[in-house]
Amino acid sequence: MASLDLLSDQGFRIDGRRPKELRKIQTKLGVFAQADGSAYIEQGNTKVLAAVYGPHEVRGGKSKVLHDKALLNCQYSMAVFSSGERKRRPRGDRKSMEMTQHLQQTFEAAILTHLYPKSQIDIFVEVLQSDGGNYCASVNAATLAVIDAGLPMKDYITACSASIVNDTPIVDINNFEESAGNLEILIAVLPKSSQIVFMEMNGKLHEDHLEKVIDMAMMGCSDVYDILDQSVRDHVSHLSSALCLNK
Amino acid sequence: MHSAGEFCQSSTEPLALNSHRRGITDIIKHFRVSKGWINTRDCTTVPPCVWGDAVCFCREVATREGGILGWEADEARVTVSKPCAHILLLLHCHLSPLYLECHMKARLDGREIYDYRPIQIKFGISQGCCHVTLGNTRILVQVSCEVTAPKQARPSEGILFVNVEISPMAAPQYEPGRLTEEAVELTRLLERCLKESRCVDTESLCIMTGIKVWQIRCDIHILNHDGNLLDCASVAAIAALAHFRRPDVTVSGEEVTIHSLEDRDPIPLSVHHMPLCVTFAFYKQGKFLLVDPSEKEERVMEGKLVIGMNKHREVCTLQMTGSMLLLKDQVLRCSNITVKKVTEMTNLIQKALENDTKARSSGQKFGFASSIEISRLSSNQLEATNMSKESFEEKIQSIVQESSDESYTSDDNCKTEVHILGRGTGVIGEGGPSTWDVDLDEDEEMIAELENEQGQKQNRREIHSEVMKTAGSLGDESEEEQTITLQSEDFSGDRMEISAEPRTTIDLTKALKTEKKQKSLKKSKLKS
Repeated sequence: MASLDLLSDQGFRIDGRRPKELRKIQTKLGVFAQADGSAYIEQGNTKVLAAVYGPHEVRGGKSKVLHDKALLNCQYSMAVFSSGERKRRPRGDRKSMEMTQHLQQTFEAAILTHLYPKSQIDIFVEVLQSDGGNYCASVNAATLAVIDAGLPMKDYITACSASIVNDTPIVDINNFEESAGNLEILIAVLPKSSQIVFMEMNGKLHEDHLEKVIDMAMMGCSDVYDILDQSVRDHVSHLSSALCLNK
Repeated sequence: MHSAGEFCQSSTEPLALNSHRRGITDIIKHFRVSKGWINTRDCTTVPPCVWGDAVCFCREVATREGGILGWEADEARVTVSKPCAHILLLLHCHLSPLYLECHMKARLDGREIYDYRPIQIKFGISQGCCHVTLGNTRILVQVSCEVTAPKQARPSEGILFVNVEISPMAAPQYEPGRLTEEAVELTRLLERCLKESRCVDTESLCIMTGIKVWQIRCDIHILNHDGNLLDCASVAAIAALAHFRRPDVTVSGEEVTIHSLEDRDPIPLSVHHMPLCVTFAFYKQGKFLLVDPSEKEERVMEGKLVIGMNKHREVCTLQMTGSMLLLKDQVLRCSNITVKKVTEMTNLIQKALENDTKARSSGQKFGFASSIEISRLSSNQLEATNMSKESFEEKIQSIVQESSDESYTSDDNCKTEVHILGRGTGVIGEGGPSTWDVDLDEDEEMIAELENEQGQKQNRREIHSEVMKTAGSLGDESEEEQTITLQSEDFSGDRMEISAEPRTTIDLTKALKTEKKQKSLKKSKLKS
């Protein structure tokens, strides 16, 4: 019963999208004055803020200092008003800790930390409104914030989710599809080389469909990359035109 | 040859800082490194690639440990005892990038790349208690149930609660109570594997919709950590859930009766399928992969891929962690390997469950007591793994050449000459003077003082030591001091003087002369 709702006979999903369509993405870079880099992203109804501080001296004792690369400190927190039911703990519960760990691993693989030994880079992510795809929106927002901060990275990191309904893979799932459906795949890639940085799957899926769904998610990631790249270029041209005027 | 102390100091700083390699500094601190002799004994063989820089450190460590680093000069094959093997492995990862290329041809314990360690599943007397060993990793799972109110979002479904307990009993780096990152990751993966794959039918656990449901609680205790906790825990959890029996319930109108175990037979949980996890460890940016990493292999791995699957080829969970980059084909290849492994493991679990039910129904003994064998203490030996040397011969030569070029250029004294002293005894380098600062005079003074303190009491103490004669080529300084057995008669003449001036030196030349003759007799006996 639920599957029929998720994908109608005409091929429309509940919010009217086609299976291969992403949600509407709106971004803004440089939202905070204090942070070295910051970004805000809206993917459909999911709204996420990210702020990057660094590289700076390691806080919290000499014991954590890494002699050959920068220490990456991530924090993922959901606002108490972000989901349908009020959240009692914005951070520190198991799911948030897990998400923090995943974000840290994802960005450690892409940021060139060996250029800043004995220092620390902080990435803070705050989810203001959660409507599915929290991890993906967080990764995309953090990528933009890191670019805004000017930290060198191997490539953009874009993330996208995918699922499967009636043997049709669908991309960028929202909250309803997440809870009603029985599968969710999250992938974070470096888009130019198509290398997977992070992958996670919840639910049950037959092995034969695995390749299809992964392909769909990677296609979604490359689409997200196009959008993010365009928004970065717009932001830079806007900044540079402002500077030219001041000259 | 570097002296042991120098080597240790120069290497600890870079080793100490990386959290993966924390274990090495613990091992280094544990061994008080000093110079000593090397003996050869029967030991395990380690692939000859672990050579080069690691050897000179390990020589020092090995002797302190009480064995065993041998060298057979004609074959240039390095044999290392089991306790030292892991030090070599860990050190070599830092010291030589050649390690991985050579190592990947065979693992430390002789397994192939896709081999699992032997799995043993044992059930306890109470239903729902399962103990699984995967090599040396031990995990105990206990399943229990209680009646609670259901969650508001799902009023007609029971609750499955998974809890992982990891304590310092498993490994010293875990703190009691506080959940480390690793423990959180393990818990979340197991939760996802068991709960979100819907392996247990939660709807059948409902007693009264919205009011009372069964809560099945799965407590996983890690008893010993020797790598790959997740696989072992998933096997144990599923086996325990399949083994568990819950009390029977009858609902008549508004009344609910929970029958005790004596009234009615408890009924099993309805387990739809058995999701099992397989862990892949990746090295060198995804170039090498290992299935079922042991603890040492886990410490040096770059990234990990976990695939949870059941017998029907349905992927239940998939997670990639660690800072590495993978391609889609690698992931798909791993899923193919997982299929085979999971089928084997599921068959194992089924068989174990069948054996247990048979034992219970036929009145035989069941439970841990009958299934855990009493292991005998045997000598500290491991079977030698057969390694083919042909492919390694050339590699050995090139590694020897490279490492001797790299590390020995600065120090002229480093010559890799082996002096064969006798049957089964070889030595590299020279020993130095003893750093223990034991003086013959001080020794005597101490003994005299003690004598004085105890008054008229006569203590006879014999200090035994082995005096090992060295070959003349090794230098004039001998390691061991000659010690003398002091008899009470030697003091008799001087006792009055001692009490008056305890600090004056005592003339024991008389005693020395008498004892020397006895000692020389003893020595000749030892030699023969």
